[in-house]
Formats: sequence, C-alpha cells, structure tokens
Amino acid sequence: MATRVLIADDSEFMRNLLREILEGEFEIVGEAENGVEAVNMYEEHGPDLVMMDIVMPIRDGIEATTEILEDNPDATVIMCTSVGQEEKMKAAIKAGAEGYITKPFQKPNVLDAIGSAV
Amino acid sequence: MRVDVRALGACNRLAERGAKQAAGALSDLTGTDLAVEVTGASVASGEDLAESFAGRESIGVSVGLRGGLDGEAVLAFDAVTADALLSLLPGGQSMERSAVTEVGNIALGGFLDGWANYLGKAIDMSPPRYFEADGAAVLPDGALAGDGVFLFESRLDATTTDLDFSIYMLPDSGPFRDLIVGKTAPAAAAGGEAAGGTASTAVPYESLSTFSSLAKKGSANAADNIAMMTGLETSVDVSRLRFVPLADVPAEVGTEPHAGTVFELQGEPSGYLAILFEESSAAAVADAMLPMEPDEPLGDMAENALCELGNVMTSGFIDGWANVLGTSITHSPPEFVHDIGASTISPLVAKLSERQDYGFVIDTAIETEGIQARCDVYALPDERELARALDHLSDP
Amino acid sequence: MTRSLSDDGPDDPPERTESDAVADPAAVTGGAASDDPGRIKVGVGELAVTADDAILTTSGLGSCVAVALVDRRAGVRGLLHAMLPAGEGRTTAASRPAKYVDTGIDSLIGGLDDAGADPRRLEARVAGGAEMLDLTDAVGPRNVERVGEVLDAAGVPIVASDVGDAVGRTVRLRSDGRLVVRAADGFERAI
Repeated sequence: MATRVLIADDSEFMRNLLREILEGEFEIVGEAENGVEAVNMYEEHGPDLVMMDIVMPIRDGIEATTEILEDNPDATVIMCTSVGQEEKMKAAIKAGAEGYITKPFQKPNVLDAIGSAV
Repeated sequence: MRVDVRALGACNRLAERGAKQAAGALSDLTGTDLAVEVTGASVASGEDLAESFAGRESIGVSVGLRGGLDGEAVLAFDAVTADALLSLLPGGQSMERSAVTEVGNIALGGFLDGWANYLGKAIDMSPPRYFEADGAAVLPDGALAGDGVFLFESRLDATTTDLDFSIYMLPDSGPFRDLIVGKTAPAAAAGGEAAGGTASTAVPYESLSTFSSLAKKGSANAADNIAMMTGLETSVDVSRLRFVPLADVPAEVGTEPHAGTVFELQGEPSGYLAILFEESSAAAVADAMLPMEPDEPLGDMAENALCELGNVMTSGFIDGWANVLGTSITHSPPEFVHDIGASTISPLVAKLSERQDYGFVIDTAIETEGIQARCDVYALPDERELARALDHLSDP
Repeated sequence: MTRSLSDDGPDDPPERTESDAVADPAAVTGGAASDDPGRIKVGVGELAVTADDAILTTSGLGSCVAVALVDRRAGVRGLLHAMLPAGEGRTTAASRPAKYVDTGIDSLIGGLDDAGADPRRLEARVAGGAEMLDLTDAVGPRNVERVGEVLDAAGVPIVASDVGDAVGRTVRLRSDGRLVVRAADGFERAI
C-alpha cells in the first residue's frame, strides 16, 4: 500500500510542485494551506507522513507539528522550509520533526528525506 | 547615533553571503544561472530614494522579520520581466502570483539564513506578501522616512537571460543597532586602538546624511557644468551614497565599452573619481562640445573635449566638500580612458583595496535631454579619511 | 555543446577525446535549456574550480590579473581574478585570499588539488595586468610580475599569456583548457 501523505504549505505553487514529485509513488490525502488546516486534516485522514512548511499563516508549521504530536506521538513530519537557519532547524527537531528539506528542493532530496523518515 | 564603519563592513559581508544563497536558490528554481552583481548599504534621504526609483514598476514579495532581526525584507524585479520569470518556473504561467510569491519566499529565506546563523538567533519570517508597486513603493516600509537606518540592497543578475532581481532589507531596531551602531565612547576607543590611534571608524549617522546631501549637490553641480559646456539640458537621474564591497564596483560599471576621465583626489578625503560615458554617449557629448564634426568619433579632439568636461565636472563635484568638511581637496589632471567599463575602474578599486575591502561609493547618473546620453560618476573616497572628516563635521 | 565564437584557427588541437558529455537529466525544478554546460562567473577577488564542463568567466580585467590553471588529464580547471600582488602577511588575506596574487594562487592550487587535480600536472594561462592609468603606479605590471614569481616557485609552467598594455580584457576558460581573451572591441583569441 502506498504511503499516505498530507501536504501542508501556504503556497499553491509549492503544493503543486510537491504533488508532482510525489504523485505515482505516494497517495496524497490532502493539501492544507495553514497550520490549523494541517492539524484538522491530520485528524481526519491520519496520514503516514506530513510534509510541513514552517512559515504559514494562522499557525506555523512548528506549532502545528507540536500539536499533532501531542495527540499522535507516532506521527511522522518532515519540515519543508525556505529557511535554513540553524535555530529554526533546532526548533523543528525539538517539535518532533523527523527531518527537514530546504527549498528549493529537487525530487531526489525529497525522496531521500522521506526514505529515511518513514 | 554613531555608526561603526568596520561593523558596517561585517554586516555588508553578511548581506553579500545572503545574496549569494538567494542567488543559488533562484538558480535552482529557474534553471538559469544567477550571480550577485552588487551588494551594499545605502544612506539616502527618503526624498532621494523616491527620486531614484521614480518611473519604475516592480513586482515583488515582502516578508516581515522578527526575532534576531526586526524589519522587512523585499525581493523585487522589474514588471517588464515578469513573463520571462514565469516561463522559467514549472507551471509558472498558470500560477503567476503563487509562483512569484514562493520564489520570493525561498530566495529571502536563503538571504536571511546567514544573518540568523551569525546572530545565533532565529529570524522569524511572516508569510510572504505579493505586491505590485510603482516607484519607491517597492522599498520596505520606513525606507523613505530616512530615520537613520541603512537600507541593504543586493542586485542579482541572470548570466544568460534578461532577468534581474533586487533584494532590499531594512532592519529597524534590535540587535542590528548593537551590531553597527557603536556606543560612542567604546567604539571610538576601540577604533582608535585598531587604527594605531590615528582614527576612529565610528562616525555620526547625521554626518553620513550630510555627506549624502553634499554628494547630491555635487552631482547637480556636475550636471550643470555639462549643460554649460555642451548646451544640452541635463538632469541628475540618480545620486546615492552607498557602502559597498569595493570588489563589486567594476561589475556595476559593466562590460560595455566606456569612455571618460578619471582623477585622483588629494586632501581629506583623498581617493578617486571616475566620470564614465557609454561609447555612444561619449561621442554624442563630445560632438555637442565641438564646433565642427570630429574626423573620428572618439579621436583626439573628442578626447580633449571630454578631458576638459571632466575637469569642470570634477571641480563642481567636489566644490562643496571642502567647505562643508572644513578640509582642502584638490584633484589631479584628467586621465582619459576608453575601454571595457569595468576595466577602466579596476585600477582605482585595486589601489583603494590596498587599505580597505569596503568603501563608500557615490554613484551619480546624469542624463542629457535632446540627445540620448548618460554619464555615471563614481567617487571613491578613502574610508578612514572620510570617517575622520565626517567625525569633525559633527564637532560643534 | 556551446562552442566559443572565437576564430580558433586550424591549429587548435582537439583536446577532448570523449564525445560531448550527456547533459544532466533536467532537474525537477529547472526549466531552462539543459544542454548548456553552465557558466560560472568569477568576480573580482574571487576564484572558482570546476571538474565538469562549466565555462569559467571573469570580466572587466584592467590592472587585475586572471590566472587559469588546468590539469588536462584530470579534467579539472580553475580561474582566479586577483586585484593586488602581495597578500602574505596581510590580515585581510586570510578572509579574502583571492584578492591577492600570491595567496590567491596558493588557494587556487589547493582547490584544484581537492578537486582531484595533480599540482605537478598543472599548466597556467595568464591574462590581464594592464597598465590602464598613469595615476595608479603600475599595479597591473606588478600583478603580472608576482604571478610569474609565485607560479615559478610552485613549479607551474605558464604555457600562454596575454598581459600588459593599456587594454581591458574579459576572459573565459573553456572545458578544453584554453583561455579565450576578449577585448573591448569584441576581438577574441584563444590562448
């Protein structure tokens, strides 16, 4: 059975790009545009993996990750970010992310990150 | 407030590295090579900034900054190149806004990484905001207020396609001030020590502003002198005082052939001044000065005319400095140059680089009406001597 | 393959024995032509090293000097654009070695070594170092002189050079190891 993935990114462009990379090998269960949607869609679909943008409106990816992991300690989250700041990465890992990829990413990076996280 | 010129250099280096990261991210996204042409910190009044951006239409993305740096950062490009950018992005044409916004977001994220890592504190970016702006509205909020902060600017150029980006960052408070703003006494003492007791590198911000206006007045004088000698109507298109890595200056002049004159400045501050025209402009201006058509476009007669013009422009340009700075400044006789633009200015940059990696550049563009001609004036003062002169400026 | 537009002449030896390399598969995010081997711009006071087909370029040489070092067998090339002759003993040379001829060449040879070149197989081509202005006391010729001394000490032979005079130059280092020198009027020659 294909790994079920939830994409959370406020940019439609980025969601499309990720969809293009993942489609075929993975099942995409939903696309969230902010941290609150991400949490709700996680509860609804229970995906195997969340590709989570950090900078999003309403609630950012780090907060959303913390909240998802509170109720679902086994959830797997990969942070996708345009920000490579060390402090941000530490915060993401601290929040429980399994890994991160830095935008702009290419297909091999994405698949590598997923491979080592799932 | 006092600004430590050395610390400004360190910040400039961060901006430079950040711009390289951003260029790398943009190259990956667009599949076209981008290089950082120039990075600098500009000191200008809001009015001057507004003037220099007049008539430009930009598309851009801005993010608010909190944490390690407070302020705003903007990625912008010319509205006319929007289609070129979109065609390079996967699915770009149909995505327009979303694609541009994300490109901006990614590039600005790269730009800020270096700063955050240097500061050892995360910088929070607000979600990116897409905008279309006329003129100086593209700049971060507060840039036009000119309340004594630096506007960091980087220009990114595509090597093979016609696509240029600019990144502007206006830090407004917090750790940034601690970084570049020397607390008067310790900074002066430290600067004095470092330079063997000869000079402090901390200068009052107000003096920089004064010098910026002085440069602007000098540019107007130089433009008037062109008008007087050629009978052409002239106007100053852009005049800015910026703090830049000296090594970036030749790239800014570019690889087109240029003709013009260069001068050595002697006194306080010493340095160099170059007046450069693109070839066709040089020929047109020389032509306007000569009573008869010259036998060759940029031959001896034109050379003489441009040297004379350079003399008068340079005098006009530095005229006000000596009075305001209370020093005496003279200039050498003109030396005619006619070659690749960047090559003509490279020896000046090399000479100054013996003592400094960064410098203040006054960069003025003068346009003539009637005939198409444009001239750029680059003044490159010695950093320490300028700092010393500016410091005296603030003495009561 | 992008070929230079220069008039190479019939004596230009075909150095490349392999057929043109297959272009990299297009990157997921890349939209531009993929048969372009890439161009790396080397700024003033910078250097770059490549082990693939990329063309290394540096523009607007006046008094500055460009030093191209090539190990043909390893297919590794590097280009330096230095501003001043001597950096040894200067504090800024540590942070910006490529600003100076001496520290720049050392650092370039180090970079080539790391990329798989054998320093004993390197050959050098030199361009620039013009005496553009009387104002700036022969910084160009001093740069060229220093290049000679430093390469000599490193045991790297200079196989070709286009230096001096009062002319600006723009150069690009091709994948075949030849350095194409272009003047303000567009005239080009490969050395």
